[in-house]
Amino acid sequence: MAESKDSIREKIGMSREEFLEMGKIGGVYYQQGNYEKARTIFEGLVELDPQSADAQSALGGVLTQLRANDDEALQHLNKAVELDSSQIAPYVNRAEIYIRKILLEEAVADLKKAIDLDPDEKDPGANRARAMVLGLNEAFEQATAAKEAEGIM
Amino acid sequence: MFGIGKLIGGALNAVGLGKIAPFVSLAVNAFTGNWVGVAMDVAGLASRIAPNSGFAKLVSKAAPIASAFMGGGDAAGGIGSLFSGGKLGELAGGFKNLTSGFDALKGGDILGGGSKILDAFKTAQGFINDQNLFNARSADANRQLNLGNIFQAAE
Repeated sequence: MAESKDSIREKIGMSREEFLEMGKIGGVYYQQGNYEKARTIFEGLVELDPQSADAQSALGGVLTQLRANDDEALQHLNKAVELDSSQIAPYVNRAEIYIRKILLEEAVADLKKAIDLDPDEKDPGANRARAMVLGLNEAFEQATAAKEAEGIM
Repeated sequence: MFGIGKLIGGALNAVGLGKIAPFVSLAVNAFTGNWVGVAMDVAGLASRIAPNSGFAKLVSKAAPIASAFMGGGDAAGGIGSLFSGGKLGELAGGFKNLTSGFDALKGGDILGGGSKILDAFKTAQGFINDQNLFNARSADANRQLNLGNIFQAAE
């Protein structure tokens, strides 16, 4: 977790361990599919410590999953990458949003970063990126075939 | 706009990501940027994924979140133990004290996310309460089981 001077977390005497524990409670809710409760916790954590890459990444992730507000999700994912460029999850989620926004160049760049950060194929998030790449490749191949059939290529 | 004919999905469905397949299909179909360049980049990335790679066995089915918060797994056991003894209430109280001076001056949420912080503490406390209830019921069930065993042994 990045150092956060003058965060509300520090002002109220909340330790890093307690902050992390609260994040894990949000993580349990998330894994159980209780996305609204997870969102409530992650929103609180971002307010407690806006310089926490984990909190920004988690809030961006749950917003990506909820598909309710892609622009707000992007803000948190961008912040997460700015705070810690070695996290995989923000790149994967940003790529998904870029795909929804039909910003494929940006999406592919983020998918590449996510995959490069996990050369051993151990991270479920990076593997989600791999699946998205294969899906995109399949779509491009089908679209190329369709274009050729229409005599466009 | 090019007609793909059918929604793509083989690769995504295979790893449980069928829900995002329509978005991928629509995005490629509607893409008006550097078609050839992006298609080549994607093909290049795809070629780096070995056909028999084991990645498909370990794919996040939902948007991934920070790994630091994913320590609990599907089971909640042990999570929240730092907050026993009313710690969350103390933290919420500390936050209210911190903001009370601002509230008096501005009539509300000077720190912007004040209500979000209190909601988060409340939600986390709900989790702890559920855990305590679960643990109490488990202990009760175990006690009844033990009593049953004692009676059985006595017979």
